[in-house]
Amino acid sequence: MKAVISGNEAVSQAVKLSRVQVISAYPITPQTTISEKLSEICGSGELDAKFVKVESEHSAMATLIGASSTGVRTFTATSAQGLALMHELLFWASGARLPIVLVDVNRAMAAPWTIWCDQTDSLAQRDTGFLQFYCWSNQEILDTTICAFKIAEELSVPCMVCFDGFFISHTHEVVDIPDQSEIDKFLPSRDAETKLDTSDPLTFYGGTLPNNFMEFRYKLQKTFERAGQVIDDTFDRFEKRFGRSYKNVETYFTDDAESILLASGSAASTVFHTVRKMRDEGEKVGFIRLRQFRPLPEKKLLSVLKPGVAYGVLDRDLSPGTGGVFTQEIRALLNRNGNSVRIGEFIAGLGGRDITVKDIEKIFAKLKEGAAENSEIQWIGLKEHQ
Amino acid sequence: MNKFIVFKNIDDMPESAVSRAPMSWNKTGSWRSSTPVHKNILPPCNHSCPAGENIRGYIDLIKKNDVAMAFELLTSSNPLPAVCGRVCYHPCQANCSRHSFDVELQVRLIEKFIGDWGIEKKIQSPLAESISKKAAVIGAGPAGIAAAHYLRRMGVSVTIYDDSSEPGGILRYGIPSYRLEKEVLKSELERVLRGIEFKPNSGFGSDIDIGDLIDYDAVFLATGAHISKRMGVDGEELPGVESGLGFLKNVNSGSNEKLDGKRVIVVGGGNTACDVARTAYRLGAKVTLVYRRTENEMPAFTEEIEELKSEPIETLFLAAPVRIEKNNGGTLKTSFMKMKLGKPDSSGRARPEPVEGSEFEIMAERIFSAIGEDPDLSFFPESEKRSDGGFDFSKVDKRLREKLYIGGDILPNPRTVPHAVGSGRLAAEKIMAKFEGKEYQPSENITEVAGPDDINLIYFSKVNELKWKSALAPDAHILDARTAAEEADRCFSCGVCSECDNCFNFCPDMSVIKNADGYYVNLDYCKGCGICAQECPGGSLKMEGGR
Amino acid sequence: MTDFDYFKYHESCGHAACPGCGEKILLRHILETLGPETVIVAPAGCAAVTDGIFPHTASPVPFLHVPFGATSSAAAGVRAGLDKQGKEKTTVLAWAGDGATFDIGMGALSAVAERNENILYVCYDNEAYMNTGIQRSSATPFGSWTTTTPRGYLKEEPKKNIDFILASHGIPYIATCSPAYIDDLKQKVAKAKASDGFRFLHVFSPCPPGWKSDPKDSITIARLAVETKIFPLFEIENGTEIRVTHKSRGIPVSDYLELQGRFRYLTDEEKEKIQADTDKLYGKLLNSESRKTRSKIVMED
Repeated sequence: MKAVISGNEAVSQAVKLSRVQVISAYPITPQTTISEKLSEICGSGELDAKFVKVESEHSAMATLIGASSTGVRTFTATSAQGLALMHELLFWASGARLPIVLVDVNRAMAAPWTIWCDQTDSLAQRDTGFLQFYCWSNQEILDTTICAFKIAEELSVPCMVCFDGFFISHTHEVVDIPDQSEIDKFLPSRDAETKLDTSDPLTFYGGTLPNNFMEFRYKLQKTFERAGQVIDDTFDRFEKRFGRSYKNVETYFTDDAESILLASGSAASTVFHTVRKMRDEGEKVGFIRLRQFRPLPEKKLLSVLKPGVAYGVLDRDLSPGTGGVFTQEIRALLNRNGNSVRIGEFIAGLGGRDITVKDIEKIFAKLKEGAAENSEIQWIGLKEHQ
Repeated sequence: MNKFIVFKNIDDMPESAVSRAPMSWNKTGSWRSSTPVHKNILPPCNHSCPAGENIRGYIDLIKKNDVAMAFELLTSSNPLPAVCGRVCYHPCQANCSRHSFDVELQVRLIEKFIGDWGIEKKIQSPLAESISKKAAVIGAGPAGIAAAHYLRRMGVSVTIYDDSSEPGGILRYGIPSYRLEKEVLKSELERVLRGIEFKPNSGFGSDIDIGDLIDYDAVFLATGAHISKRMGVDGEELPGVESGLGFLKNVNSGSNEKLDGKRVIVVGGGNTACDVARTAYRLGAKVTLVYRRTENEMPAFTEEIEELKSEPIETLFLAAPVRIEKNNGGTLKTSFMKMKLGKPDSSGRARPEPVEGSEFEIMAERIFSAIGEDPDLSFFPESEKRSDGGFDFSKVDKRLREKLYIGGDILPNPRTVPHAVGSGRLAAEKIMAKFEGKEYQPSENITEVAGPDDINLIYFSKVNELKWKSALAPDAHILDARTAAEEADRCFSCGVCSECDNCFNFCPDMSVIKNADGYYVNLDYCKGCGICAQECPGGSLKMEGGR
Repeated sequence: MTDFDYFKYHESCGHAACPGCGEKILLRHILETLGPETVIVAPAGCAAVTDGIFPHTASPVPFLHVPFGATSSAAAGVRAGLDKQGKEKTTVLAWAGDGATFDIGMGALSAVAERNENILYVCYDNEAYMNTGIQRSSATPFGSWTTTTPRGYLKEEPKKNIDFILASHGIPYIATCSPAYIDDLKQKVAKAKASDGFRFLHVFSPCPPGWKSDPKDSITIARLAVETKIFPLFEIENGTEIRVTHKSRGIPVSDYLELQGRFRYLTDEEKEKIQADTDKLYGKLLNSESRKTRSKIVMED
């Protein structure tokens, strides 16, 4: 069934189709309409879930930790400050190996107060042990959220599905909503290996001494290392059933490109549009979309990043004192593998500032001028000094 | 699974920290520096009972409304609860730990309640199958009765010889009926003497002799103390000057003597003196009791003294007779000397010393001397009195000596009914041990006695005096089962586990385990915190140093 | 009560609580009353640490460790998860100390109370952060020594009145309990178990190392806390119906204070203040109890 819905509503539809059993969330812009819609479909009985309406995001995640420990499927959504307030519990969820799915509608972190988009909020949670996907369309949001449950439950790790606040969350698009029966075949109910159960009284996540702790982190790391394959397989199966394809790294016009820009989220759409326009104008430019950040699709990235091309990464985020998170991660990956490919670092669109076609053209112009060799941060769209 | 698990291989570990192994490998008992021990310490009531009653035991049963079991337990050491409930001086009450808290437990009334219950219910004591042993008991007083009863219960064939026509001894002939109703005595003796042959009018040395006893496997001698001590004054042999005990025996044998309006002097301060004075008063006499020390030194039981004082009987302290003369007209004139208290004598009491020139006279028709009694052992001329007050029988005919046991007032014990009962039961146990070829062993060998410091008073509330007094007023004398149970409920259970569950409930380490036999401490895990001992209301649980 | 024999579970032995720990006395009686159809949710704290270390546990029922401020919400989540699987009969027992309840978990506690989540929340109150080494919490009483209210800087504020804060949420059942009064405790736990909605038990949990008291005195201190009116035993139904379940004898508070080293720096004036404040609060409690009766009579007229 096709419908014109917002990004946030695509989430709600995915949650409904995934037959989530316990939802807990706290209102925060721009996530709020997800909670509103879920309240409606839980209230009406369209979805047979308990929506625990908590007093904070900390409690939202705590509630899901409790619920997920009993073996049910759980979901929450948040943004920025809310995600940061969950921070402690994100580690807990992954250390406890609970397949909680969290949608983060990307919003810049205050101060100063802002409700507008950048991706610093979710990227700042990169060390918490959540899988992370970044979507650019409402259809992708719906499909990824459904797959997120399947992947998370298979790996017993939590998963974060991210997309840009307002630019995507509040934009309506045509979305093909799959049939429930098809989703039920694709995503059966959760089968937890261990759970809180009075017939098998176990104790979960108790004190662990130095003699055992490290092994749990090793196992988590190993799970993330094999996660890439599970993710690829899941989306392949999804494609076979539903006909829509998603890759961890997507390349456009890269084969003969001289300059290539890497981007994620809504900015990626602008880059895609600009690249097509520039191609029409005869420029040999290309575009790589980063869809999956945790685990970082290292093999794929190494295979697509080739010497002799001027690369730039568009970061809509900032780790102060270091720069863009995507840039740093990719540079570190290349460096680790003795790869001589150089990457230019472009920071743009913080706090919801528009990233325009002109901005992208400017970046490609800079890349042409050798910006990839420049290790300094190149700010795009910033006001000039006097 | 009782082991600390060490993962050698990462693959043995679960994906997340899910625990299913017990903690029981963690033997926290190793933390302990002192250890709780369930000790049964002797409660002061049990310790002080001359009859050896398990008072705490039957109090507990009364508390639980199990009168039948209480009767069984009580009569397992004292066959005469109805009697003792009336005539015993109850040192258990004087020693009761509640004495200093509010008011001592009224064991006397509870014992009487149990005894009367036994009479009312016509309970029969169980008699064992007869064994091929026979014993003779000389004297049917409380000691002889107790010995005969327990021997018979254990299967021994018993014959009691007594110089009187009825059994009971001092109970029948010494104690006035206002203290011990004849009916009660009769009923209790019927039960106690069931299956026992009683030979009346068979005084040892007069009606029977050693030859009659040779064939018995054991002989228990309990002929009591009948010879009144002499005052040692001139005129003691005058008519009208008599032994107090003899007077009591006459009255108790049914003589119709009347003392209407007669003046009577009773000399002495013991129980006999009190009984004589009170009996004479009841026969219409105007009585003066004269004692050479003060009320504080009177050897009579406190209760007797209190009752004496409640009656219109004149008491004269610090005076001793020096001479009795017959006046014209037959009145007796007794001269007394005033006394003062000097240094303590061997009994620990102040020695009375005469005050020079303090003589005075009292006129009376009758004078009863009650200054103590001695046993009459004229049938054993060979016996010698020892320095401790007892007798040496080593020169008695060997055929008898080897199976001779002594009890009751012949012994140097205080001459009380419970002492007599205790000596009788003890003799029966010793005789049985001998019959069975064993060395006699006391059934319980506890030496430590609980005191007020062992009690955790927080667990007890003071009695509501008004309510208590109305239920237990001394003139009420009769308890119903509910009142008895309520009174028993006040018991501290000094030194004895009352199964209150405190040690079990308050153990943080689940180390006090309860089973059918009571409680035990699991030393594998007991950390020695000491809460159990601290919270033991009666102090039967103690911490002892070390593991 | 239940046929749940705590002692059948030998794994209950060997827990690592300090000698004389009140929490362990309380937990065993509470679990014994609740029975095996119980799931524990516990935050950081003594209960979490002493239950055992991975892969070992002393708990006879499922036990979910959760972060410090997460108890109430996680318990609500467990409730939701169990309900979704048709396990409505299972009792969800949130078992948290005073720090997790009065302080870091207060917001979430208020929230689950307001939502009337079907949880039995029991706060074992040892009046400070004992597991981290005796730091003051908002449950620490006036004049108490802790490592963050050291000598010369003793706690100046009174203890937070958690029971009445929760009462103002109008929840079905609130009760205070003491390990020295096991029957009262078990009755209240049974009553709580039998009711639905958010139930809060505030249980007094002596801590020998934290209170600088002799381990053997834990129960004596707990009893004195009740009998001096410092920790009265009462219950509140539906937020308004207050009933004192054990009348305090009114033993002087000094008897209670002197058994604990944490109060050793109090001056006589401060002790008098504690006595006066205690009497005042207790009087208020009794008044609130009788007021209810009075208003009832008026209504019946």
